[in-house]
Amino acid sequence: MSSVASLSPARLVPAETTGTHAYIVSPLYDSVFFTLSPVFALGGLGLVGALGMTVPQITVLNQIFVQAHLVLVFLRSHGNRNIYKQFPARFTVVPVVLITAVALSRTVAILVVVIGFFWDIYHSAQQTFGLARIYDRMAGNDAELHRTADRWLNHLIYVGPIIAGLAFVSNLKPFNLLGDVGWTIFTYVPAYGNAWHAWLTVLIVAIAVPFLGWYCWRTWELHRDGFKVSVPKITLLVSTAFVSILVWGFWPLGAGLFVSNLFHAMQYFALVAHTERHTISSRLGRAKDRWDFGATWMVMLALGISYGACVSLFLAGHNIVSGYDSLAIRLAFAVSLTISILHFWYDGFIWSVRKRLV
Amino acid sequence: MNAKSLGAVGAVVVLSTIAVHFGPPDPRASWVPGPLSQLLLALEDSFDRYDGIGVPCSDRTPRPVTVGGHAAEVPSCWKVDSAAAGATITDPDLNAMALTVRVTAIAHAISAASVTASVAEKAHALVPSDEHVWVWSNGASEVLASVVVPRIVSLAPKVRTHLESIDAAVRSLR
Repeated sequence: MSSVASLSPARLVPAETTGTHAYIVSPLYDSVFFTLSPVFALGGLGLVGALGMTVPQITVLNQIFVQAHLVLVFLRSHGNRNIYKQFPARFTVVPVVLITAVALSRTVAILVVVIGFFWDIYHSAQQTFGLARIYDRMAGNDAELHRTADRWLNHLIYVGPIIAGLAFVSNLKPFNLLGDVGWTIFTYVPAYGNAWHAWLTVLIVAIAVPFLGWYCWRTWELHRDGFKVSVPKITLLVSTAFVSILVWGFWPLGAGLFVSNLFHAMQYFALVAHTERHTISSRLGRAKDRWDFGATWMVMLALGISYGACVSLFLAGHNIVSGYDSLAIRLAFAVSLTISILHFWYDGFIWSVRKRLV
Repeated sequence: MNAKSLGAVGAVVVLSTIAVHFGPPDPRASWVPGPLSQLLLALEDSFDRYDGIGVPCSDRTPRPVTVGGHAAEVPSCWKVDSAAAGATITDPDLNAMALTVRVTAIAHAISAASVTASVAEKAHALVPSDEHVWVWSNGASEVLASVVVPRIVSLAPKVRTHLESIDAAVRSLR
């Protein structure tokens, strides 16, 4: 954390002047929390394995950091006045309507679970895409240049291995929940997904290999015309692709979820700490000093882990179908599901690199 | 959600509808090029070695089970909840898509080999039912064999690694 605490404004000068080795915070901070975080998350899985944690324990741990990072979105959406004043209705009306609907309707609750599950995958790919775009802009490139290619590349390295890998069918199983509200046609999705799995794997590989070749060729071509290749961006993409292919392609579902959720949460914590450090410090009545970064981290960890631990431990062993009859469980699900779906939705517009919100 | 996202969702819905309507092509079909066919079958075999959540299920060593009071053997990684009557399962060969249901009571009337062939032939034709029922008759006796597999594996072109129950019955037609 010393590199974080010693962060100086000089290191946050406009990106265009910082070149191809430009980092968001510092080389060490970026490497740990952004560019190499997938690899560190892999180490995290090895650590819980070495500690002899059981599957239920790992599941609760996984839920704690997942829930912890989900709630942090409010530090930016509601805590940052510049963001809040742009979308007041989305930040007030929608949460109230959604939490009420989930608490009153089992069908809505289950729909939110299913939509949230798949939105999470898309959202996670978009986060890596967003970081890649930040690095590109910091290297001095136009915010639009290579943007579409980066978006598809990130979907390919994040979603591609999920479709092509071992746990693809398990990732479709949330559709079975819809059978509990009478929409049994959706229960055929995992069944047909299973039947098509080998074909889909071949299709993904057939798309990925030429696309990667084209991406590299296109980058090289742009580079000859002055496009600056960002080293942190390349590191981020390579580490994400490597870990994604490994854990989704060849490992069980639980391992894939743990590693992906962990590095996604690490990136999110680190990004919010960086972008909201002044906001949170001023909200706490602190001056904008060299310690505001550390203070922000403390606030985020306290808030996130407290919320994550409460939700995860309270809901451990319960699911939305069987637990919905209990008022307490239902309300807990209403809160956590609303926060999760709002997290995915809000993140889609409060971090726009193009609009220079980051 | 913008127009592009809606378009992408629409494309997924249309493609999924087509995929469901036509079902997966059999990798062994004549129009599938040889190398692609081999690749697809290798992938299927590789997925078969795991259960639904990616846990290895590659232990094919025979495990003795009792099916309807009869001794049978299935691969160790299979989950069998059998309520069969009068049937034994022998020589399960998933790679060849053959599940031999040998009904000992009429072993002399209907050969096990013909039963095996019928199972393999009908496994794909009966989708998307979760319960596969086969009937064999030689005019004098009739065999009904019912194999229930979870829906999640029942749509695959070949019988996969999980059986929920196996049931068989024999009756005289005279």
